[in-house]
Amino acid sequence: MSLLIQELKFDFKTRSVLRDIEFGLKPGEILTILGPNGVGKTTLLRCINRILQPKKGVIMVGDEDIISLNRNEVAKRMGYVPQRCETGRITAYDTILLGRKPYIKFNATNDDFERVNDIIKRLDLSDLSMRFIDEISGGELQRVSIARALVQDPNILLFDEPTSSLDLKHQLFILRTIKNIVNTQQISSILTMHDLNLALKFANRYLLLKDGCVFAYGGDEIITPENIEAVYGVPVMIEKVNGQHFVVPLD
Amino acid sequence: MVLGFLKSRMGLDKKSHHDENDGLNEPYRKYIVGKLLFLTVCTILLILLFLYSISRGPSTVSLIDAVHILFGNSTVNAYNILWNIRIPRALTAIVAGVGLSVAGVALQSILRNPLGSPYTLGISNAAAFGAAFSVIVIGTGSMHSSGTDAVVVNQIYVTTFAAFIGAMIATFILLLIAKYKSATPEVMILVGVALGSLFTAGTMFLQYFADDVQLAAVVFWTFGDVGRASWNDLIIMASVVTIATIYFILNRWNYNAIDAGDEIAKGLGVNVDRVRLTGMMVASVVTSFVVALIGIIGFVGLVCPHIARRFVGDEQRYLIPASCLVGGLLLLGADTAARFMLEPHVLPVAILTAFMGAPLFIYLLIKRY
Repeated sequence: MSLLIQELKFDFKTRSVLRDIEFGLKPGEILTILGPNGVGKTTLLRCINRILQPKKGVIMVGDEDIISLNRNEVAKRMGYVPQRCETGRITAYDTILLGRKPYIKFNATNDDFERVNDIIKRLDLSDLSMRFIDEISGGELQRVSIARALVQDPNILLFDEPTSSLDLKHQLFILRTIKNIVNTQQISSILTMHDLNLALKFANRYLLLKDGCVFAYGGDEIITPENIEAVYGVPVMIEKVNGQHFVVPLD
Repeated sequence: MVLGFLKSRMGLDKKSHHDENDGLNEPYRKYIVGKLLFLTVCTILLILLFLYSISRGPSTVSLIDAVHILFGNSTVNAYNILWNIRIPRALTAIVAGVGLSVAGVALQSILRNPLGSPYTLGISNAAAFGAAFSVIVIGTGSMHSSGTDAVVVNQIYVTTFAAFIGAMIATFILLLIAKYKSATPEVMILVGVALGSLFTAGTMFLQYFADDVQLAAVVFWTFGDVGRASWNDLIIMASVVTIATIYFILNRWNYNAIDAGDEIAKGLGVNVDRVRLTGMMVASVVTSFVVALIGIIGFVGLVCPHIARRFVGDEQRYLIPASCLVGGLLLLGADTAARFMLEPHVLPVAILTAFMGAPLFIYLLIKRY
């Protein structure tokens, strides 16, 4: 299902954080939000599924405006994976089952359990499922968090820095998993990221933020040395190795 | 049979027939059955302890007779003693234990703090201040010796009502700050601690100017004692505790989500601010009723949920009922011990809850980690 954002504005008390944010996303596309620290990447992500309430704007998923839906209905359309997740003496299985929360009336049903089992198989989490989440590694917890967002059965998946606490192998594993899910289920995904090269490898749309506004939005063509320097303040060159672009800082 | 009933309540039996060959579900099912077993064992222990508690005393009856009396057979000896004294006392212990414990487990979740309890929010201290105010300023504290060396506060209902008002004032201040200042859980805990100190200081101020009779009456009131409640008190308390427990159980998925973090909870469709505010309100009201009617009983609200966590983990579907059962067990156990320890003297249960609960809690902490 497509996503369309128009004239999104968010203020923190009297300070303007985001304004005039506009972009769109088609099914099967992965968008990364890029920009320096503090520019409002995470804030934008939280505004999209209304963890933070935007001051104004339109957020259309298909032909529905997210702003007019209640929180539970939003949760059925968007899954959100934050940077970190609180742990406790809860099994990975129950953690994933929690993703069915928007659908559970009183008890989890057979359908809920089946969906959890299905995701566990697809993300290869069988060995982890009965372990407590306060005893598993950061990378494993990240995979469990993604599974929880997936059982929400969302059309849009939002990830805040999904690779920030992972080693190289797991960074690639998680991003491949996300790409695979987006492709097979034809959903859309938005990621915030610091690593430009990982973004170039996995995303097909980019949103460059500067001073709370969209500096550039588009495909690979907007990742130019000029744009990167304008946004991050660092001169770079872009090299092509084995058919893939790499951003190399010149400073 | 109980286990089967619980399984069907938890929606587990539905999946058992068709996931027979699913290797993955088997461990989960075993894991759940383990938790249900704990709940069943606690329920049975509570029933046995209840029967033991009402049958023992200065005139002991057999367990069988106790059951007969419970079912209304008035021809059995000691019928009046049991119905007028021991049964309301034991039931009060269970109800108060459940109430304080369920308030504690909910507060620990919604305030995202393991130290969350009715005490932490200063509600108990505010109730004590209310009672002190009533005894010393309004003058409900003239007291007399009642046969034995026990003292009785005159106009106990005025004192109780004042304690309730005190607790509600603290609750109101907390909720006001939470709602209009959008305070974080950390701030709420600190506000609670500050309120607790404020009301304690207020109580000390009043006590400083009190005469020794009033002082004794205030101290007497603050010793939580389940023997104080009449059948009417018990019915009021049981109604409030039942409604609160049902409310918390209905919100168990919300609390699971909040345990995973506010952002995740919001992403899962939970209206975190509203759930937090109403949860605090319900927990505060239930605490206010319990404290006003039987005095201050520390430790139960804080520790019973943690004892339950050691056995069933942090999953609220099992943690809330387990905390209720452990709360009832601990307070009834403590009260039963309080009655027999220094026979014929009956100690206020508040003195024994920490005596019994603290070593048990420390043992469980050491054993697990």
